[in-house]
Amino acid sequence: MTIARKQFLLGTISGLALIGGGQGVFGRALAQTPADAAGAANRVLVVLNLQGGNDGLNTLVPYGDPVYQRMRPDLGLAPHDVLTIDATVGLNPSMRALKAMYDRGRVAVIQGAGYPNPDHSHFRSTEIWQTADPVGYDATGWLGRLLDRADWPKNLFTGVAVSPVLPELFIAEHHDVPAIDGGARDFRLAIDGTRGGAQDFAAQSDATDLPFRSPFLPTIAAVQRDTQRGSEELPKLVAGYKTTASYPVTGIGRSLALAAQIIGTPALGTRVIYVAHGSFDTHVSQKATQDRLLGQLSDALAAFYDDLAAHGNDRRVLTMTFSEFGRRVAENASRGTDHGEAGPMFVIGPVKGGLYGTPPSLEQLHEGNLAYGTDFRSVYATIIERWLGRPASGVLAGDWPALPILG
Amino acid sequence: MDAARTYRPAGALDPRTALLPYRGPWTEREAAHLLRRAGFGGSRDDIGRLAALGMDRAVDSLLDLSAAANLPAQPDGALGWGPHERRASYLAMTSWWLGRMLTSRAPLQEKLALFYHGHFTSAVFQKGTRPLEMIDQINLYHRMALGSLEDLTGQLVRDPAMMRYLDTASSSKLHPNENFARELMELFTMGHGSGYTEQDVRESARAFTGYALSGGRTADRGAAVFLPRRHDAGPKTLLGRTGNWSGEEVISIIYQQTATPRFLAGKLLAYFLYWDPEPELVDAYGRLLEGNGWKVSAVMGTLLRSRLFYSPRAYRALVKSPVEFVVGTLRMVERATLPEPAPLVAAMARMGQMLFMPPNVAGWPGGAAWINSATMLARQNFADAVAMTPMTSDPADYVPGIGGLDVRALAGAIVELVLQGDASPAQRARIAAYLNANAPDDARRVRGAVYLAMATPAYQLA
Repeated sequence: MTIARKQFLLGTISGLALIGGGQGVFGRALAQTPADAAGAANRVLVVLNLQGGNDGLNTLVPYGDPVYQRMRPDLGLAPHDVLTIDATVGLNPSMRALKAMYDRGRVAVIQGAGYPNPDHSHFRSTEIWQTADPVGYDATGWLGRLLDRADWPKNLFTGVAVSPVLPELFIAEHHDVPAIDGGARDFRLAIDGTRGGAQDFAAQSDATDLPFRSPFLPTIAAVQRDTQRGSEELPKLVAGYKTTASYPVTGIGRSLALAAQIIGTPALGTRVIYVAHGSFDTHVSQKATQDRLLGQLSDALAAFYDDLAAHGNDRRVLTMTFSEFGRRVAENASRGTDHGEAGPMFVIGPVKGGLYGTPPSLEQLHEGNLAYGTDFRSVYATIIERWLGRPASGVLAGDWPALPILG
Repeated sequence: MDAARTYRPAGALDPRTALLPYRGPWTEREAAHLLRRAGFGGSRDDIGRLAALGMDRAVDSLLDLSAAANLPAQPDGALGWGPHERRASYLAMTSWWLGRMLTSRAPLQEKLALFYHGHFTSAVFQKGTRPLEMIDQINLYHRMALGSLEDLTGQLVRDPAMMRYLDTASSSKLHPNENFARELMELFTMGHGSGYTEQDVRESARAFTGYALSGGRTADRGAAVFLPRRHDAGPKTLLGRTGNWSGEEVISIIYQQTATPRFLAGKLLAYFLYWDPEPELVDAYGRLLEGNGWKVSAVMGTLLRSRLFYSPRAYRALVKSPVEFVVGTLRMVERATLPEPAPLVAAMARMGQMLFMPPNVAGWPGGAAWINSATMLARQNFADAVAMTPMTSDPADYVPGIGGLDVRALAGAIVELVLQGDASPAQRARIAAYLNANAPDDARRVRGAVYLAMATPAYQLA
């Protein structure tokens, strides 16, 4: 295994510090012509993490399978409650808004997504999905490697995590990705309000004339300057974006509203956004929690695409969900479910709607769990190559067959 | 790809003199450097005390772990691990350890325990690891902080948190699990690509069978037991030697490999001296480690008294980890007790370090990986919270001589306190100008100036 040393922000320095005058520090993203493959121009990927391990069986419900009803005497959803897709499966009843999008051909569902030798630890399995490395311990994330390799203009906001903590999928060798919690206003440095505070603060990142030398000094000073400028500029830039979409007042609603705002601010040059929702870790009394979370997700996604459409952005934004694992087929004694393996992934937006992948068998289980039929790296490869128009090699180890989910 | 960037200090190493005793000036600057590395930094008084002792006695005082008396051995209260108890347990555990780091009079013990925690990793709640098992593991690191690394490695074979984290608790003769054997060689002792083979891993895994945890599902902590029936006592060939090796014997064989001193010395130097140490230095330090029976006390003493340690190449040559940043800041402003843990834990998560939950078995990567715009924002905002809000004591308590000083002297005192003088003339002038621009009776004036000192890149460096 290789633990590459992570190196940050060698590129964004020029992307920010060299720009002066009235153009704004992010003007460069606009000024440069993106070197996109035909059709991939200005496309955006939103990766949505259903944290905690979402129970796929009660999301895409195999209501027609008698084994499902038998294994889930308490949690099983009755056929007449399910939002029917076909004679065997349907969506959780709380996902009406997403079902409407499905009916309009805007949702592709990959059934039974997972990876070999599944790990049942939240931490490790999350790391596997985020690094796309089930074997070693790659220090970089798959979107971080994409940022390092894609020829997008260098810019602090090419990747944005709408999250309090930088997720591992954005760890790159040569890119720094800001993590913004809740709203653009939260990406801010707490600066003393007394006279002179803000200007003095910015100037303190200066690293010249110091009475010592340190190999880390240039990196730290550069990150500090970028953080400072970014936190000043971001709220101003996105402030021009107006929306009439009615987002639900939930965490995921606020996160996707910010994502739409970032996408609708071309000066930011954003291409990949991470959003998280949860926690789906439903060991106890699953039904109420999961129904609420899936309803919030479905409503927020509908508002998000309404908002994007109102600004003419819906055709250039693809959203992909993932969760570190599905859950055990048999319910437990606490009306919940324990950590499992394969689960469905949703790809939303300009897709060829429908069901993909082999439906996982409820009888041929792997240690009581659904066995995976589609490696999640096939989904990643499809999106990297066919949506973002970049080669998947170097981002993903190995060759992964593309899925026909995009039109 | 950008050219690979190196974080090894500039300038040439003289390997013949590097580890000889330092005989240069001993001022507060050197004392503060020692305290940042062998501890978490400190207040003006802490630094002044070490400065007054002279180098030899200052290092002696840090190596004397008996000064750690009266620290709590475990968190207060029950520590559950059910889905609804985890958060409270985690906060109690973090308060316990950060509290020890903040108040211990033997900070090197805590610093070494933190090093071992990131090296011989385990993680609470993973694979059923109980909070008290994790606390016990940290206390093992406390107890053996300056002892033999070989002995410490041997103890891990029966450490419940380790047994769960790397699966020896469920490994048996019929189904040997390779996880512990692999990470033992790859991450704990020899290092990846150092010459051991997959065959060596498989054979070692057989030696580590037979251990299990008793106590059942409800015990606060499992107890390690050895079940001869589950142990594979047959002959094993590993690293070129054949015998009916037990787990202890495998560790002894590993500690006879040339890769082991090199790997462990490299890790210690990158943690206490500077990043990416030169191979000839690593070799020399590894020989010292092995020659002293793997005793950390001996090699720490040599390093902390060495010319290289006090040379410009080692000075401010490491990035503070979030734990060092937080504890160091709180020690500097003379917090006697830890603030409310929930916001502290949230801030540290944003900085990228949660105690008892390393990101994976390889621990925290450290160095430049600590620094990105998300973590920088969290660091600056934490510094702001400490300086600007009533979370801390009044600056009058921790900025020396605050009352009688004119603006220039006050700016100088703040630069001394926060940066031990490591500011540029422009940075000093800005702090003085800031003090001038705000009325002397404005209570926020000194706080803002302290924050401006913490807002310099130097403050991120240990």
